[in-house]
Parts: sequence; C-alpha cells; structure tokens
Amino acid sequence: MTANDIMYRIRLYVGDTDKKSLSDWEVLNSVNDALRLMAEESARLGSSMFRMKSNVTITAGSASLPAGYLQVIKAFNGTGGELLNVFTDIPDDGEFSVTGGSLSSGEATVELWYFGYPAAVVSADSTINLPESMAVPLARVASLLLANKVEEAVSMADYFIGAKAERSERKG
Amino acid sequence: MLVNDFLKKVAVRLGDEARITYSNKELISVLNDAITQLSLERIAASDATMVKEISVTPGTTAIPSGFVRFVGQESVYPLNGKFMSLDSSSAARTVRYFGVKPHVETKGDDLPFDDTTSLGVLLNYVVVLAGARVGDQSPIEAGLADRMSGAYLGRVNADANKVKEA
Repeated sequence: MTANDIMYRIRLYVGDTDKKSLSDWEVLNSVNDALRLMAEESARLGSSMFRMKSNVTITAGSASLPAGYLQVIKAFNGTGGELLNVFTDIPDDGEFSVTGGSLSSGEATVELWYFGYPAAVVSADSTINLPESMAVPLARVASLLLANKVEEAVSMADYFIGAKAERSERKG
Repeated sequence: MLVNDFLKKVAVRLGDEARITYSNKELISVLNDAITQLSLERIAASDATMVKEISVTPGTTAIPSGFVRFVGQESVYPLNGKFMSLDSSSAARTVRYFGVKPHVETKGDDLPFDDTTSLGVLLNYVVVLAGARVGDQSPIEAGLADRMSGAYLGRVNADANKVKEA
C-alpha cells in the first residue's frame, strides 16, 4: 500500500477530509510514528508483523546493525546453522552478540532475523511494505498519535497486534 | 463578476447611481477593504476555500502576499520575509496556507469572491464602509452581512434562519 492509503484514512478519522486543519507533513509524521510504535509493540508481543531479515557481512569481528533494528529474533551462519546468542564482545564461530549498535560474531556472514521498523515514509507516494489488512490499524494508531493520545495509541496497537499474535500462537 | 458590474450594484444600494457622491477610485478602495475583511473573517473560521498552495524552498522563497497562516503545522516557518526550514533541509516542498484574496485595481478586474453568497456579504460590507464616510450607519447592511457570514460559516443554525427572515 502507499502512504496515501493511510493518509486519507487518517484525515477521515480526525475529521479533516477537506484538508483545512492538518498539513501533509503532520500526517506523514504521524504515519512514521505509528509505524515505529506498532513495530515496537509487535516486537514486544512477538507477533508475525515487522519481522525482517538482513545478511550482514562481519568485518574484523563486528558490523553495524541494520537500520531500523529493534530486537533480535534469530541468527544463522552462511550454511544455515543457527547461531547462539551470547553476551561477549568477541563471540566465537557459531555465536553472535548484539551490543549497542553493533553485531559481533566469529562467522564471516550472519543472516540476522529481527524485529525492525520500516524506512521513514517521505511522501504520499511512498510504499509501505505491510499487508492491506494493516491499513486501518495503522491509520487508527496514527490518528491517536496526532492527537497526542500516546497511551490510547499503544492500547490500539496492542489490540490489533495482540489479536494477530494470538492467532499465530493458536496455529503454532 | 467584473468589478464594474459589482460597483453598479453598490451605487444602486448607496443611492448614488449618478456617481455624485462616490468616485470609482473610492469605491474600489472600499471594495479592497471589504475583500480583506471578508477574507480574514473566513480564514478565522478555517474556510477551506481560503486555502492556497505553493512550493517553498527554505531560505529562498519569500512569504507570499496575503499569507496569514499555514494549514496545520509545516516543516518551515516564516522569518524576515522568507520561509526557513525546521529540519535544516533546503529541499523544496509544497505547503498549504490560508491567504487573503487579492485586491482589485481597475473596473475591468474580476472579483476574487465570485459566488452568490460571498457577493452578497461583500456588497453589504462595501455599503457599510462607504456609507460611513458620509455619516450613514447602514445598520441593516451591517446586520445582514453578519448574519450571512454566520450562516455561511455555520456559526449556529439560528443565524441561517435569521438570514431567511431578513
């Protein structure tokens, strides 16, 4: 979906379809804030949303974490073997650790699965890499953030993400 | 509607069809005051028809004539006659703002307010303002203009009824 699919819904929910109260810049910022909040809640609740994968090349034992990284899920080496998450600055082969903004490992490459938030939406034409079913939740959360109702926005995000997470667990 | 056609209506309402009391120059000046008054009134009520859109390059683009305020918050702010960037980016961006309608200069210009409702309010304002110069209070026109504006802007439903009654 595009950012505009979310933006027009936000204007509908806040009563500004004639665009006389809010600027596009304000609405775009609320979409980005909502994406971040929903990604954080998705990570906390362990839902299937906002899961990302990145192949990281390790140089001299470490590399920068991907942009938008929030929380690790799992990591694998180049042959598909799962790596052990350890708490040391110098992990061995078969191990990895996350410290600050860095990923360390004894492996040459790490396939990192993690919860993350998508790149910032910069215009109404920007693509948001989420299923269509997330359009209403995202717009609802963004609408609450626009009104500075942060706690209500978190509750709203939890309601939608939590429901999805429960369904995933039942299937599992 | 052309300014000339509008001024003919004004002259009739002022009882000055022979143009003895008011010159066109004076009426055009009064008309411009009325345009500003009506514009500001509608901007205060966030009337969507008063919104304009421009492309802004921060640090370069001058504040347009008639600028009153942005629609909502923007990533630029006015300073010393220009728009400056909040995010330090000098990239051009489109912004929307409430702006006063442009003034007219000659009888051949088009009126910036050209819908039936606005013309009525504008006419009343011009009569009130022009009448004041010769000592006329024009309470009927003043009251009508206020009621018509109230109804147009949805101030309260009772105002719309008052317009019908008037």
